[in-house]
Amino acid sequence: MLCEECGKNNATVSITVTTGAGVKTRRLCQECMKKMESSLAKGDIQSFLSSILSVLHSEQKKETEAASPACSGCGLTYAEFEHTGRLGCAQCYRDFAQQLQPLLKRIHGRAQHAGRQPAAYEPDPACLLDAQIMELKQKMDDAVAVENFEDAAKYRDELRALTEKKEAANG
Amino acid sequence: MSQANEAVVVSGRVRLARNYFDLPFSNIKNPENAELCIERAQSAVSGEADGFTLYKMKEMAELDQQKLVEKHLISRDLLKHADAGAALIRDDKHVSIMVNEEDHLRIQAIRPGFDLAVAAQDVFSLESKLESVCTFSFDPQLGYLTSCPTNTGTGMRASLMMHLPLLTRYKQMGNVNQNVAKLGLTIRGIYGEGSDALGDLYQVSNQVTLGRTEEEIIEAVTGVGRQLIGMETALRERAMKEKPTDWKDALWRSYGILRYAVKMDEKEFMQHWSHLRLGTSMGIFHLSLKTVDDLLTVAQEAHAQRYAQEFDAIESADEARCMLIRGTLQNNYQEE
Repeated sequence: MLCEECGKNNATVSITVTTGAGVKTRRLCQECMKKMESSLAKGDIQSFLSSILSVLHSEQKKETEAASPACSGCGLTYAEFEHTGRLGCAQCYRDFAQQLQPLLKRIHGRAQHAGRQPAAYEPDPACLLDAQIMELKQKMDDAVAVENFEDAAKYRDELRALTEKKEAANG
Repeated sequence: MSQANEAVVVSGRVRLARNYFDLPFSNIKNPENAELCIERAQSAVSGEADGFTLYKMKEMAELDQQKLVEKHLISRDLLKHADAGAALIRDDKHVSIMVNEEDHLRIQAIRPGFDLAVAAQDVFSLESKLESVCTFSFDPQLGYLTSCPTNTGTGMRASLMMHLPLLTRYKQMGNVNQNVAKLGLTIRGIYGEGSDALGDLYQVSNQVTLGRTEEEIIEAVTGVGRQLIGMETALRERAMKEKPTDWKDALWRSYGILRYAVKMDEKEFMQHWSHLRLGTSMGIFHLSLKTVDDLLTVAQEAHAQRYAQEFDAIESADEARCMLIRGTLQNNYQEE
C-alpha cells in the first residue's frame, strides 16, 4: 500500500487517531512520518495534527456536499453557500431556513427584524403572527437573561395566547 | 463640542443593501439581469433635478475607477465585477448608488463631520425613490434579504471615519476594538475590511444589522464615536501639556516635509498627513480641516498617477503627489 501523505513510497507506519467522528487510521511511509515527527519535535503540534486530520475533513466534506440540499429558486447548494458565504436568491433564505436560523442568531444575536419595511409591503396576517411570536420569544429570553421573571411571565402568557391563535387559524 | 467633533471625525457614512424582489441576488453570470438593474435604478433618479450621472465600470479606465474608490464613492468590491457593475453618483458627491455589487443596490450617503442622522435621511429618501420603480426583497421575520447574511435585516451599515493618532500612539486601539465588539460594532482601516489603518484613520461601524432598528444602529455608532472623541481629545490635551516641544517638533517636521519634498510614496504621505491633520485641528497650522481632508483624496495613488499622466514633465506618481501637496499648502496656508 502506498503512503497516504505523499502517495509515492510504500506505507510502513500506521497512526490511529480517535476523534469525535470516530477512529481513523492513516498509513504513512518512513519519510513522511519523519517529517511529521520533526514538526512535532519543534513544538509545532498544530501542523502535525492538521496533516492527520486533513484526511478526515476531506472525507466529511465529500459526504456533506453529496447530502447538501439545493435551493429550489436558484439551485445553489448549502455547501456552496458555506464555501462562498453568499446566498443566491430570496428563496435560499426559505429553503435553508433551518441551517440559517442559528447562523443568523450567532451573527446578530437576534433573529427578528425590527427596522423599516418596504412602503408597498402588505404583511400576510399569518406572517405577522409569526413575527409577533418571534418578537415575544426574544423579549421573554431577554427578560430571563436579566432575571426579570415578572416580565418574563407576562410575555410567556402573551406568547401562549398568540400560539393558540395561530393554531386556531391553522385549523 | 462641534469643533472637537470635527477635530476627530472626518466623515460619516450610511449605506443600505437592497435587492429587487424578482431577481436572483448575483448578476455576475446574467448580463441581462445586470442591465435591468441598472435601468431600474437609473429610471428612478433620471430627473434633471435629481442630478445623478451614470458610470458603467466596464466603460471606464482603471485609474478613473480607482479614483472613485479613493473618493469613497464606490467600493473595491464593485470593481471585482466590473463587467456588470455601475454607479449612479449625485453631482454633489454626497450620495451614490452602486448597482450590481454584491447586492443589486448599495445606496450610500457620505457627509463630512459627525452627522450620521443627515446621511441616514439622504439614503432613506433615495431608497423610497428607487423603491417606487420596483419593490425590494423583504421578509417579515428577517427584514431586507441580502446576498450575505451579515447584512440581512436593515441592510444598513453606518460608519464614522475617525482620525485617532493619539489613541494609536498610546497603543489603545486593541482595547478599544475589544470593547466595541461587545456592542455589536467593529473598527477597521479606511478602505474597510482587511485594510490597514493608514494615517491613523479608522472606520467605526455596526456589525449587527438584524433585530435592531435603523435609529438604534445610528445611536450605537454615534455613541461609540462620542466616546472615542472624548478619549482622543483628552490624550491630545495631555500630550500637549506634558511634552509640548516634542509634539510641536514632530508636527512641524511633517509639515516641512509635505511643504518641500519632491517625491513621496503613499505610505509616507499618510504618516505626515496624520500629523498635518492633528496640527491643524489643534490650531498649530493655519489651514482649514476641509483643505487637509481634501488633500487626503487627491494625494492617493490613483489620483497622483492620473495627474502624472497628464503632464509629460512629471515622471512618477510620487512626484505628482508632492506637486499636488505643495500647491495645496502654498495656496491655502493663511499667514498670521
